Amino acid sequence: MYEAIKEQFDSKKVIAKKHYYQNMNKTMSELYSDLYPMCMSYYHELNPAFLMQIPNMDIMNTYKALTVRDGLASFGTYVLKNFQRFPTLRTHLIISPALAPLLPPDSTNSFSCFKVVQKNPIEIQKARKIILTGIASLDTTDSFATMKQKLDRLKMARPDCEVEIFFPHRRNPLNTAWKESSIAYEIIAYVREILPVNKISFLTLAQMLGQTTYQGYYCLDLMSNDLVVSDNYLNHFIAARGGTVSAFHKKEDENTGFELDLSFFHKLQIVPLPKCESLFPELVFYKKQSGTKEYMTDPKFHRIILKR
Amino acid sequence: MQKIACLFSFKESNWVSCQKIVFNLHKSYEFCPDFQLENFNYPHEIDTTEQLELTAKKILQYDPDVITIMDHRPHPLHLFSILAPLYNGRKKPKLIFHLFGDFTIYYSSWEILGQLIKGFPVEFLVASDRQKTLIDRMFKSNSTIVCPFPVDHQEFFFDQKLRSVQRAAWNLKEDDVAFLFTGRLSRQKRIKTLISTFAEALGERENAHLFFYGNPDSIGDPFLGIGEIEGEYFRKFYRDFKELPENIRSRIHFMGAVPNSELLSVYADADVLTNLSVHNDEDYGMSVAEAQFTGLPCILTDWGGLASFAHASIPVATRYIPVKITRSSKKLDRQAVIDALKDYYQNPHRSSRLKISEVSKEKFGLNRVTQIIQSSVNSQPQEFGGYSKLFDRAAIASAVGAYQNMYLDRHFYLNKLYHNIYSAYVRSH
Repeated sequence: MYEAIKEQFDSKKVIAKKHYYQNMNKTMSELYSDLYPMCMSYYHELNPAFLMQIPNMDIMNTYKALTVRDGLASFGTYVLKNFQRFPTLRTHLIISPALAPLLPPDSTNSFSCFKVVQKNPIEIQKARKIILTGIASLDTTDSFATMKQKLDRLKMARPDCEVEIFFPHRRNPLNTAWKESSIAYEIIAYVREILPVNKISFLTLAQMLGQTTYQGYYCLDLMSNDLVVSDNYLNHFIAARGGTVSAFHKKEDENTGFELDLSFFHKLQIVPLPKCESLFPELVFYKKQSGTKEYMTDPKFHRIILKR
Repeated sequence: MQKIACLFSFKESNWVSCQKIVFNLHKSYEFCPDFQLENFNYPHEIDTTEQLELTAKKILQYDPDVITIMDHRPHPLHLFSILAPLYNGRKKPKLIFHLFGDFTIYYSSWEILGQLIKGFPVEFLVASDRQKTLIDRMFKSNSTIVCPFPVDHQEFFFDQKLRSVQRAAWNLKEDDVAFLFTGRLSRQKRIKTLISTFAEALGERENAHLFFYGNPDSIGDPFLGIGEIEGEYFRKFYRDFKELPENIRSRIHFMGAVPNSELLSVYADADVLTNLSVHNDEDYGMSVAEAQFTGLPCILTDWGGLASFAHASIPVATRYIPVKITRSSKKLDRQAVIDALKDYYQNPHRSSRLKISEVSKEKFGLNRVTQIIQSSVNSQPQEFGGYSKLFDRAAIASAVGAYQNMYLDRHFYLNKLYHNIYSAYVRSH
């Protein structure tokens, strides 16, 4: 596996820079808008990209390796539609450990995992500023009960710590329901309950992406249920400017066979697939039973893949 | 007493150098004893029409003699589309525009603004001689005035004691030679070239160090059709860096971004500032001005506003690297960089620092800029005479395509329009 990764690294060729990747069809373009800026492209030689955005497997096969950024829904769809072709797959796919349970057990040679590790992370209690990031929609957030557990970490914040929130309301990107999410309001009310006197401000996208340094910041990623994106642009953006991101690892993985620096402050490590219970048989059963091929937007499918 | 309405965003720009520029320009206005200043907030994120109307009315009520536009963002068009008509039939105040390097990105906004400010007495101030050449080409009859972006001598100054104290923080010995870059680690700042030339010129010199202060960006070089995505330029220069032998790598230091307040000691520690920028907005060089205030000699590209930092009375203050605009890029003379690094390594001109500092203060200090502003405010009123044919061509080109493509021909070479505009940024224009 590391030969393919090394070859990809040496080639420096990445699909995210190609016109055929950037020119999206209508469905992709809508999805992209709903997830903006979490799905924006970023660069490293191991080719980070969304499988759902690659026109066909022949194009993908021209790359030795690819770092998969898809969430569970689109990666699960990809697996269901293509698993019979996996033995002939010429591209080594590097996935988030969260996606590993979806893989067919006999295809694991074509896959490995990535971990993002921060070089000098700070603890939340030492942060000068805490930034809460995410997209407010049913598909991109956990339930409020789960969210509360994440937010409870704010109780450790410094008394003078400022809180910034970037949590825009969006349509459900996977169209599972038209129900509007009220989670952003609940989150804000809860943050105010935990931190009654701390300064809270709301960031626009321009303010968020216009900032040149995030040193001293702790970013609480509220979007990490992995359904739609497993490798979030905004987390890289903040980490590359010195911020500590809750979704990234604080310790290096000793099992890594390859690593590269993504910035002065964070790096990517390639590690073997984790041992986990496979959901693949259940997915195949679902495929046979369901009357749809639109897995990505099917709530039944979501229930299976979120079981991991 | 002249009433001056100062227009700028009360919230600082994300563009770090512009934060200081606006702040220091304002200080220069404050130094004029016969000015009565009133500040008006013009926030970066455009206000609603209602808020803009309120600001316009407040300005009108204040009844200023002069309205000065100090910030580069937002473009003054939005406010003037409301403010200018309010002056119909009234005595119009003089408008002073401090133009920044991003003028050439907003042709369509300037074009419309040109219509709105007809009949107003105007003055356009630019930060350097070459920016003057560039902008003067854009106007039919108006001539810009060079008004450098000032440095506050209380923030940046020569201090020998500070140097000896701070040098320990870098773990450098007195005979170590520290080259320094401050700013964005950006493609147009030629960071890759700086790393490779340093390795080639001084790789064997165990006491030569190169320090970088700043974070990478992914701006690319849009005028040349080169787009970048997040992390791309970092990977490009960092990969080259990682491939260097350990004994060279250990002497190249990436220090990240630091607050402005720490920069004085950084400049004091260093021996030579090196800035190889060929950025399309390089109308000045705030970091160079600050470094020279501390007496730091500089190796600079002979490009845009950086050319303003030459001082006839002390030639060692600046060493210029020739730049040529070729068919497809802005090419700097690599060998000249290597020679300059070697020469300044041999002699970093430490004994000249006090003089460099003094000369810079004369040229770019708050007092000097106050004088220029005073004379601009009091100069004979001149109305806006419209734009040149070159501006019209640029405005049409930018309206037809995105500004990223307006300077490229069908073979993706730089077109005549680019040469006609940006030849102002190189020598022998």
